[in-house]
Amino acid sequence: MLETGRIFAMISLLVCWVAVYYFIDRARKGDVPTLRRIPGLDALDEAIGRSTEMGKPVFYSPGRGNLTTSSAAATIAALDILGHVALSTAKYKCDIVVGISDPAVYPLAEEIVRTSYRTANVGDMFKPEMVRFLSPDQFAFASSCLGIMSREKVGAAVMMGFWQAESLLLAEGSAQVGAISIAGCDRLFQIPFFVAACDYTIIGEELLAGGAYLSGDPIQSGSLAGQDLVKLFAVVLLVVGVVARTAGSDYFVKLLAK
Amino acid sequence: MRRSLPLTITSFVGFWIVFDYFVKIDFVRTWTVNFTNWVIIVAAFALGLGAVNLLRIHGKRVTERRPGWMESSVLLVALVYMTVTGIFLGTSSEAFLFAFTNLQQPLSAAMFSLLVFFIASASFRAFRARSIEAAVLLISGVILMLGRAPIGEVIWTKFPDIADWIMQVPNLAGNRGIMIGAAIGIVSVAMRVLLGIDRGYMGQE
Amino acid sequence: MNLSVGITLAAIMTIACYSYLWRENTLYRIAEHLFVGLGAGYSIAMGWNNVKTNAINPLLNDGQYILIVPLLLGALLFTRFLPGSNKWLARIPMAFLVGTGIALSARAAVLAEFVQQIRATIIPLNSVNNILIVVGTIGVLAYFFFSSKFTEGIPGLKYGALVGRYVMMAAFGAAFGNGVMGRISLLISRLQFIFGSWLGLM
Repeated sequence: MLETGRIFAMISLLVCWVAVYYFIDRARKGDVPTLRRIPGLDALDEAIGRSTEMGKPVFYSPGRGNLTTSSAAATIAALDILGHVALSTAKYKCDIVVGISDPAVYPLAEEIVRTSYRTANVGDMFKPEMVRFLSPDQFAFASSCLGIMSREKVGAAVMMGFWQAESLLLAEGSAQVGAISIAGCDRLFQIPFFVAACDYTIIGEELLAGGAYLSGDPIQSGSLAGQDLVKLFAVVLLVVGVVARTAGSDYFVKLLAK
Repeated sequence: MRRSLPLTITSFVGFWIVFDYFVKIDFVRTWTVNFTNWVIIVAAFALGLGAVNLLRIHGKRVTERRPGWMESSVLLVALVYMTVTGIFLGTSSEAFLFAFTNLQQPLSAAMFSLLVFFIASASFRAFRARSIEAAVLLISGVILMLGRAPIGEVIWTKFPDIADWIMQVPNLAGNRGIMIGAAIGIVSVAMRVLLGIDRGYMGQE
Repeated sequence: MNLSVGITLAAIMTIACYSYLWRENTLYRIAEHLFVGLGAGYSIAMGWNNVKTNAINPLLNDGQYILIVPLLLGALLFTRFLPGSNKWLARIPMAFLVGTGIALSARAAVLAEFVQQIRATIIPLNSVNNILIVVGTIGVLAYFFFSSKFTEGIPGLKYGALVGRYVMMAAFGAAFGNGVMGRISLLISRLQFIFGSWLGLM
């Protein structure tokens, strides 16, 4: 009944979910973990504040991922972060321009921005033009983002989520207009371009932790402690496996293939 | 109802698809295939929402003669042209393919190749090595480029070997560590979403 | 010089894009808006094909009535434009998309990015390279610990995280270098098109 080759993956998934749930439950009961700082996420408010002082809008893009493939988690994480950014721009009474590539992400992003302005009691400041569907085409989207950054002279550019080759066009485009730039991606291949061109970069799991980190919600913070426990599980598995392999046993290699 | 029904649907479909991955049950598999096929259909409808947004923003700009109305009219003409020819004449029609081959494709290739100029300016800034970490990035990047370009081998025959070593050792370790961490993050996000703990993506007051 | 309409249009589009390097200008703006319109129209046409092939044709020709469900879900997306209190119905198809996407994402990640990556790193410590790969991978994982329960509770974790940062920077440098080499070939191909195919100078 169980799918061969996926049994250990199933066990890992369950370990992960139980660990995360355990720490969420502890957080609910008041044992809220203290989190280390993530400079890129902490810099968001500084970037929005600077943009407000200069009277310039903030540009945000949740990337080129969608909700229906393996990029869904990064896209949802980027939408979570958008919630925080939009709430801050609303509180500062600053304009935001959100550039969207995937059409299914567009209604969610619009709802998030609209709700954020309403929550900050500046609902009348929200304009539908704040959230713009640009294009699902990779470079049409990038060309439009470049144009928006230049024409609207953005003061801060925040790029989070799933990115491909267009990452550098946006990152460098924001640097050219003098915007403070913060970018995050969960894949290795585009992170170097963000590291090279942006003021702050959010790397890999930091992006996926972003929503929980910024939410200030103790329950979500608990989930990050759960993730740490799973990393510890991975490290222990690695160390034990490597020691066994060095001693001539391939038990763990076979176990993980089950 | 307004909150609970969507969350119930997310949880039900999500847990179903995860469960299916680990078991061999025909009934479960059939419905997973249905769900994943339906997603393609629903996502295609979402394109209509995108079109409405484009028509609304650019249509308003044109009708109110706001700054940029000329460019917006170009966008609208292109949008209508591709949509109409694609739907009514077909995506293999001459009219559709003419615009695709002679306008869209070269625009795409040109934007892609713009990257080389952007890489040059980004490198200049990044490679001003302000810290030891930036210096590690700089050295690794330069060795890689020298190892991959013919001139590198002329300067020092070992450059290609060192470039290969960087790819096979630090790059491999870095990539694996990031992937394992990201996987844990993805599974945790999935759990928070499927249990309705994380609702930020739906817009939360 | 090749003055055929197709080649000339393609060359003008290329120059329009490159003009951004000078500064954001009218020619670039026209090309950008044209590109967005074309890209969106192209996707809509392809999306319509998807709906026709995967839903309408099987529904009408083969009697697969179950396909009414995704068509209805798709139609519900547009309820957000309704006046009054029925806008929330648009959340139903969104919930379906998110549930499917996040599940596909998680199940793929746990096998390909968690189990298989750990398995590939279980290697014998019989060479310097192997030791560096194992230490580097663990170091990078150490960097991603967030909670003080662990960052302060596990001895030596902060040194591991430091190693991880350097390993990641080396990996980023390598990916950056590779990217640069790949992009140069793209530029060469566009220049060949302008000076060769269009102007006939090459």
